[in-house]
Amino acid sequence: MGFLGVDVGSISTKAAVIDDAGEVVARSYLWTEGDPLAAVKRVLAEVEPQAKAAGEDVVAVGVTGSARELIGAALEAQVVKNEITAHAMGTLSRHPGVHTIFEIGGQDSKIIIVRDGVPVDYAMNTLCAAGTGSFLSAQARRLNVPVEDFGDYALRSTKPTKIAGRCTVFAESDLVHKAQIGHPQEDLIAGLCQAIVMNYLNNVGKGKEVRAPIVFQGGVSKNVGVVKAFADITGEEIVVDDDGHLMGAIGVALLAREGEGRAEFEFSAHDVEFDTRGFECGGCPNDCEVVTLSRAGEFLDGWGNRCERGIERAKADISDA
Amino acid sequence: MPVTGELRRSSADRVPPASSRGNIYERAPVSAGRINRLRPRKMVRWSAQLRGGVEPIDATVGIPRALLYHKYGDLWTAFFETLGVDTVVSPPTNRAILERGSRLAVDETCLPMKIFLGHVDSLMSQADYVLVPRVASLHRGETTCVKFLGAYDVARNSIPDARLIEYDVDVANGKRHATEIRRLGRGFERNPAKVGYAYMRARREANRLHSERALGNEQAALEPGLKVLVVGHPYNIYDEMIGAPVVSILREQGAAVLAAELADASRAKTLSARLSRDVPWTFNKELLGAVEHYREYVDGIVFLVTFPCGPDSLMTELCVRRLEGMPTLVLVLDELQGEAGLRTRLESFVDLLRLRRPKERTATTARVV
Repeated sequence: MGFLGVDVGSISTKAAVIDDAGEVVARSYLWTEGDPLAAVKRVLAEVEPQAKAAGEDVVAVGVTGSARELIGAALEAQVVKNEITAHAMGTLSRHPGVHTIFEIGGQDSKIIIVRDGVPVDYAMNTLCAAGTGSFLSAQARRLNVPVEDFGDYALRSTKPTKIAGRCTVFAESDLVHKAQIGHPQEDLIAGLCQAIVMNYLNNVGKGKEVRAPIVFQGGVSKNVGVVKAFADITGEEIVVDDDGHLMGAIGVALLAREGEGRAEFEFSAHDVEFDTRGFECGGCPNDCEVVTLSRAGEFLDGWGNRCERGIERAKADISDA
Repeated sequence: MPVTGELRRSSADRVPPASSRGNIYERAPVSAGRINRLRPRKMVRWSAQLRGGVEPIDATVGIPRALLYHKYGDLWTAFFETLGVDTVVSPPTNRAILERGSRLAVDETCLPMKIFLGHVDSLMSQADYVLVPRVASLHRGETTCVKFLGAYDVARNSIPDARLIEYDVDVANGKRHATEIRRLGRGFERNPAKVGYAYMRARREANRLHSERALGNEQAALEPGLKVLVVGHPYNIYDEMIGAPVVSILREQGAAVLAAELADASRAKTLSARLSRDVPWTFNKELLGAVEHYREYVDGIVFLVTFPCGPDSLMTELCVRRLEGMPTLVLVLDELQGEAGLRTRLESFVDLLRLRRPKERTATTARVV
């Protein structure tokens, strides 16, 4: 039996199929590109042949990530879980002895503190996306260096430039200034990696006891420059799992395995057009922004409403269309 | 400004001449909001006269469902009801009220204050007067946040057309709540004995309602299930836009919700010394003690803070640092907050609390707040 986990993040969409023993038999990692439904279709298309080859039929689906409600409804998932729990579960299955999990994704970053195999504390970045993957991508574009090559550039630097990483806006002007006064590109990029780590430890990791073993995951963990900066600044060894970017998907697949719900999952059944609509309810002064998901004119799910009226209107809205 | 038994208005120049007095009591038809007409019309005969006036006052007092309403709302409605004055309480905060308040307020104002201004504004068409007390201090040697002191003047300047009535509470300077609210009552009822009776009755009613809620809170603390203490000001916890989503998400996740705000105030104040002796703000001191009072009974603590709150930012940091080993979640909300981030944080917090429990006992449904 196979269990499918899908992690739909702001920047990338990940899927993994695990078998009864928890081993990953299929994996996929793609950009979300602002269209989670299409991205999920693409990851499913990639995962399906791998799962078939391993002889695993998917019997339960778990969904996590910021688009979990939408995708959970579209895939009729048995488990829809927040990304913190999913990540903790995924990492603990691979690294049972872990004490600290660093996680930097496309738009959020979090720290999970684990003691004796149980997550005991966590923190997440607040309103600001400084020090996340999207910040790195934005700076890469400015420096005209592909973000994938960032790590190699950073490793070549011997004297990283100091860059103010507290705020994306200031970091950018600081970066431009440092470039204009002649700092070489490698040092600038290494400086950016350090700025991200400092920002992370001072904001997300504030007041948390960072104890080894440390596992670093999320899309940014693929950047060796940031990994090196973490190791330099914490003075600890940083473990980066090859499947580090898949931990959310693996974790939620494990949660689906532990859950009760079982239903044969047909990949082909989900290769259909879903329709999403957003509208302002207008039923009361709250004017909720309701989003609905439908398939071939049939209402599947809706959210964003504070009361039942929003859903009633959504159903009427779909049958009108 | 003299304070003796005269109905105080926002400013002298807005008081219409006596000849036109008939008009100021004509109000727009009341379409929305909860109206307390608990006292039959004919019994209003003895009540509500302006000093020197001859006609009985047929005025409606509007009470904004914001800030101190969540502390004194029961008292106010019962007080005016006994005096035979109609009251109308603004509806629970909705997006229209929040947006209106944000437009009326200066940028730097805190979220509860913006909401408050929205409520005052929403009462303009429904009430002849809007009640906005000034509270500088409630106990000797303590202060309240300056917004309670400034609420009246901020409202008066932000909404120039509003007709406000107020009373001052400043215990440090000898102005007690009981005395001052009765002084306000004299504007509606000349007989001081009747005002005194109205106050006593209102006090009793408010105390009764409060003890019911507090008792529920104490009992919930003793239930076996997963319990989360929500630490925040009543005007945040009970607000439809701020606290209500937090409480409902926590309950959805199967956690019982306890409100720190409901802990016995005097006991809480004594206990607060264990965490810090130097807190000047009455409400924060009570919340601090409540944390100490409930910490043994709960699985985790959620701090509900609105942006930008000076006292709360200091107190929350202090609590988190002194609550070694206790899982805490600090939620700082502003008017731009989407529910998605809130849900992710609260869900994972409850998941974490559940994983920490040695063995999950059946979750009880929340009974309080």
